[in-house]
Amino acid sequence: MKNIRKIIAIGMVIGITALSLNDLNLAVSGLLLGILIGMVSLGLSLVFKLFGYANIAHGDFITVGAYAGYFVLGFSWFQVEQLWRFSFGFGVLPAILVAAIIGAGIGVAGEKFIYKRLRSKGASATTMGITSLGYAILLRGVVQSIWGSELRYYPNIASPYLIGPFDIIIPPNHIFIMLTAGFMLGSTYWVINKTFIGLNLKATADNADLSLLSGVNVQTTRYLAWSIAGALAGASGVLFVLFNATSQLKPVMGFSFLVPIFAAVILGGLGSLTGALLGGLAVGLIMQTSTAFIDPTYKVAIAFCALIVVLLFKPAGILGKR
Amino acid sequence: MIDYGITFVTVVLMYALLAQGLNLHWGYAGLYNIGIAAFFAIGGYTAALISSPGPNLAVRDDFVWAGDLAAVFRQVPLIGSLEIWFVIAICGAAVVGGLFALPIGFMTLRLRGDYLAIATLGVTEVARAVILNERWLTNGSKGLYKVPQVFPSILPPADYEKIYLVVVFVVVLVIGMAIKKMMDSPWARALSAFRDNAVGVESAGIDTRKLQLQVFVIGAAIMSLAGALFAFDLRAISPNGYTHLAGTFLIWVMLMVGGSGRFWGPFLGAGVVWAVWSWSQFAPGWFSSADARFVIIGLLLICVQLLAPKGIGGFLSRKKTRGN
Repeated sequence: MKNIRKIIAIGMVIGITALSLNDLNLAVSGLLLGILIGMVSLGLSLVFKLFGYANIAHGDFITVGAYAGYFVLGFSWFQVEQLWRFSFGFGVLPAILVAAIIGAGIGVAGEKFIYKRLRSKGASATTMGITSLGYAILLRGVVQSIWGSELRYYPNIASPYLIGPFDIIIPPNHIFIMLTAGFMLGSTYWVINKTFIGLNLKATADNADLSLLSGVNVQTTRYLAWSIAGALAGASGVLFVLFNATSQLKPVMGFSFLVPIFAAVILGGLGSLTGALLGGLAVGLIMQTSTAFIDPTYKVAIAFCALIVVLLFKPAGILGKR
Repeated sequence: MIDYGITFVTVVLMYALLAQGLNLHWGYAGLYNIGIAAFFAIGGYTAALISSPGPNLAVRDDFVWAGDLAAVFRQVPLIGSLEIWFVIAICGAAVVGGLFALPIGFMTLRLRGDYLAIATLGVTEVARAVILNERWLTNGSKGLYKVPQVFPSILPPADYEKIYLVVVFVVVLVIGMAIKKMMDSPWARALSAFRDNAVGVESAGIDTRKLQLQVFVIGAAIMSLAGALFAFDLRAISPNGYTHLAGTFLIWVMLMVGGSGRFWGPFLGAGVVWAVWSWSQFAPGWFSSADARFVIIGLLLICVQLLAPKGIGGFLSRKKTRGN
């Protein structure tokens, strides 16, 4: 039984490699989807580490971010000429920035107006989880009230695909997504591992009372955790839309990503940040490469099956401690 | 007005049954299930499939098989008018729902509570994908639209709601009495005790995992049975009827507003929340829109958790004890 973790990990790596070699195009787009899923999972895992409950509203943070980007791109002074070969202009950068800020804002607002009050009343972690369900519905309701529930599109300029090595077809947008997501993940890694903020986060997650005694401002650290998670989710909302060939967005988009995101978090091990990123990559690859064999509408079901396999054999996840 | 009242009471009773299933899960055993819509859909489709007439090729139905139980049983002399097929259909729905719940519970109940939530959420997504894609089984987005009536010979079809209220009332009465009996048993006490103090109950030598698995399957079966009742009320089902909002969130809000862990909580909650939900369409402007319902339901869930975690039921019973 001791080796089962290794066996599962090796089996998954072999399986994913085989699936990836089957169709390199799908593998590359799966890797990219995996980075995006990993980005959101990282925030979700951080929140889980600090507060001990699964935040159901995280999917709708993505939605809010995507629509915040839509709002920014709607202004005429951001509809400038095409940037390199991307499907968008320069305006997408302020869109991502605003999405990240609004994502952080709704994360902090949830903590300030809901979760902090619940915690002071001594509510259990599961009660907080259920309340986050309410927050998720509320956020989606607000998005639908403002923008309606029909499909919307970002301004989309058609441009030819790039041909990479091994004849891999790469949409230009994917390069932008790769760079932006890489930058955001890198800066998150830096904040968590190299600065006092990360130290405070880890201390608060480990033992909130002790870190309060040691002079850590626990409540500020909690707000910071929410803003990091919210900003990652919000910014990824815009990137998720750009990842789509048609740049479409709808209010359920975030909620429908909830299962892959949780699958990534659990696959990597609840509360493990590196694990969440690795889990995201694995889930993204499995989801995209499976479309060579199975109807794409079953993508989420495939992610769910990966989750079930992990739950059956190694519930603590690949990098989990318990 | 009376017709409206009849429909209202029927719907509230059916929702109360769904919420009662969740009450078993969350209120008594502390199981965090956010995939009610899956069991709701499984129940509805099972009952509709075994009782509807087969596919009509003239209108290009895609599904290949339907049981046509209603027509088969009506041909039987003597017992043909007793509508035994209806009992078989709703019990079959409950059994199938329970069978689906069994492996999910088996896999996730030994882990911490959040895993059950994620797993049930995933099952809902998979169920929706299957219902939409596997047209040979479920007729895809067209749905099953020939679900038979119960007791068609007693009153004309226009008065179906009146008959169906009686049917629903009888079913809810039977299930409700069974639940009441269960809740007063040592079995339910052990479950509630485990929710509040896991170590204490396990040290008393109780196999809590088995108890949790039992309550998860029974609760899911009740949800599926309620799904079957909905199918016979609307008599046409399609994937659109089983969204997260109407299938899962609404039920959670009903339970939380009514008061979880209390027998009358789901009934109270279903009545109050369904009144808000269905009357909001008469409200002016934005309040009547479908989007407003999301906001209302979300706010209601948050406010109940913040201000009255025990719901209306808890509020009422606290007043009573103070009066005494």
